[in-house]
Amino acid sequence: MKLQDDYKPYLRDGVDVYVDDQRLIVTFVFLSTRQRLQVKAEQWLIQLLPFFDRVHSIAELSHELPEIKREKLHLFLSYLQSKGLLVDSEWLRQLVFDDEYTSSLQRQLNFMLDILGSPKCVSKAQNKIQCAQVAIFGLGAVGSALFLELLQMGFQNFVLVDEKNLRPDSSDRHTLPLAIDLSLETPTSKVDYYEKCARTLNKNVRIRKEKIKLTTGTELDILLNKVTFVINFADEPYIGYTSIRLSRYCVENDIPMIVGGGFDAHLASMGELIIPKLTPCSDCYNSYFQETLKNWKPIKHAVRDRSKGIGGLKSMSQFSASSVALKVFRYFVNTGCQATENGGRGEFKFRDYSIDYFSVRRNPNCAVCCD
Amino acid sequence: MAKPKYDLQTHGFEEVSFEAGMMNGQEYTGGCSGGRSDCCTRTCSLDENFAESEKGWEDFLKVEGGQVQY
Amino acid sequence: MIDKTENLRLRPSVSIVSTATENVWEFFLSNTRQVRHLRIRDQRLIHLVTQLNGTSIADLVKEHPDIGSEIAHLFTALVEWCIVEYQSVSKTIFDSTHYRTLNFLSDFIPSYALLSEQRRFRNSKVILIGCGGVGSLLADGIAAIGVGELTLWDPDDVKNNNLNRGLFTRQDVGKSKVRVLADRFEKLYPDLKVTTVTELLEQETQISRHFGKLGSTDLVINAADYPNVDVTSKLIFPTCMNLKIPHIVAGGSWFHRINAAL
Repeated sequence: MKLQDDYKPYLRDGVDVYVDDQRLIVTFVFLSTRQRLQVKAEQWLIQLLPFFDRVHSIAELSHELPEIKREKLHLFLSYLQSKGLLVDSEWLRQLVFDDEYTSSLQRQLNFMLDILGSPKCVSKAQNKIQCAQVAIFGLGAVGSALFLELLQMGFQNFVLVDEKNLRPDSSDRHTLPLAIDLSLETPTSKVDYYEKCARTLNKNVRIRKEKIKLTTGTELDILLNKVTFVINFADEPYIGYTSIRLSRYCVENDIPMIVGGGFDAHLASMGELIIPKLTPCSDCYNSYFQETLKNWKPIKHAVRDRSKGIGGLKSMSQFSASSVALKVFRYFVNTGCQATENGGRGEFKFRDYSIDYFSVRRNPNCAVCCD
Repeated sequence: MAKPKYDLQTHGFEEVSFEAGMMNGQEYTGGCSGGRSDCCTRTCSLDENFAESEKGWEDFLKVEGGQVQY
Repeated sequence: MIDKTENLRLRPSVSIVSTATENVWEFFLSNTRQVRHLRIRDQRLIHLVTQLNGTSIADLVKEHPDIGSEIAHLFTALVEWCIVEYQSVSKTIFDSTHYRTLNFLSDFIPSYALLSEQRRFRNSKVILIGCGGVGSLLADGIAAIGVGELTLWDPDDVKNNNLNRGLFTRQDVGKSKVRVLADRFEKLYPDLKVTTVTELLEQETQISRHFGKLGSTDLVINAADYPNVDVTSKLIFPTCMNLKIPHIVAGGSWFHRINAAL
């Protein structure tokens, strides 16, 4: 659609512009995402860039231009608009969300504009986030941090599943935004505490609390009624069991899922996104590990009760939580760069500060996710 | 080359290698030393308190290839 | 110096795996995922290691005098390499509310030094400049490790558009960032001493003046990106270099939202 002559173009905030006068190349640098767009343009067009300032209309800018240049100016402006470089200066206010929601998410919405290119797409993606119903199993060190990040991203509807209370040692790794007495004399359940935290970030949040443990007998149809996204951090008795249980249900019911990272022996792992019928499911991961670990057989440990023998750091839990949050965000923003046929697991290595990653393919014979 | 601090001849043992992080499952090697094949997560933090419930889960999930590894 | 009369045990987070190579064993420290391979000639030695749960080097040597020397060398090395721990220290860890952090540190601090290192942590002072999206989370992570003193430096109040990241809630909007964090940490980390600075950082002399007031400082972290991290680094860096204070430039600033700290 052609831009109207009274339109006052505005080169948006959050983008730096560099000009190579000799080669007539303009580089637009999107500060939030570090994307760069380079455009070669005629000199007169480049010279007009500083006047895309919300003050000068197209009519004023093209006032003394010959017809052919006016056409070129229109095309150039349309192109910049298609790349998300020209937006209405009040675009944030024009989104469908209330002012409080928008103002708290201002940074995120600007970030999304970098990726998605138009306020309309931003609105659509954020609306998906706002309407999603997310179930989180396990509010331990990683699960609790992830929950808070999702709240901060604007997710509003949750099912929180955890049977436990906070304890004196919870301050070691749990993220605790509100003051709380952690003594054993005044136990607070994790679901109650984190619901309270949620309301301090968004008064419109809707939470169903399930103070239960995921078992083989849990009725998932009831528990996951209307849930559109599942995140699993339940690692008792074992993350593999709970993930396979949930993954099978999610694949059958076409619900995307993430197996969260940060569990014992993988304190800074980065989680696996499972999209039914597209990525490997948890049974595929199980098959993969059965093969690769078939010759890795640790000797039975001399110490029987190892419940307080495992380590962890709040920062590593936060790392895992953030990597899962980014995966969730990417899925909802639907950039096209999420996991496809290949899944995998990433892991931050504390000792040398690197990130390792290995890929996992779908098992072509998987009885759960392959036809 | 500097002499290692511990050598087999003198001390009965010596260091072969030290790696900052273990990642790729395909690096794992080993001969069979037992009936169970346990992944590092479950073995390295396996809590005897959960031993009883494990059988229940294994029977329920009935994964192909035997025990769950994740 | 390792006490040979201390009862030892295999650390709960360490796994031992046989490898395809004869007599070579893999020791996996699961908290940090380090792997150490050892060639151990005598099968009795590896058997003693795998069964280790409350016996001292002295007792093992007494029970197996013919391999006493190898036992002494091996188990001394295993303590140094954080594969084996003092049982007395493991009891202290078990009774602590910070057992997770202590177990993690035990992957690279030998058992005999762990508690003294914990005391050193408790005596350490850290200055964190910038308490926004990155800094507030950093502050919490540093406090959780168990440092003794933390200075929080940020001139800003919490605003609505700060709420999509960091540790702040709606109740904190309008309040000083550093005061919010200080109040929260007072309850969560009662052993931590927190001081706050709310000056806008504009001149290098402010840094040296505050560092002088605070006394010796073990670490400075720059998480301040206003007006940009280049400017704040130029203000902070010379003082740290002159006073020989290690410092970190945190990531997550303008244009480098997901870079790691330098």
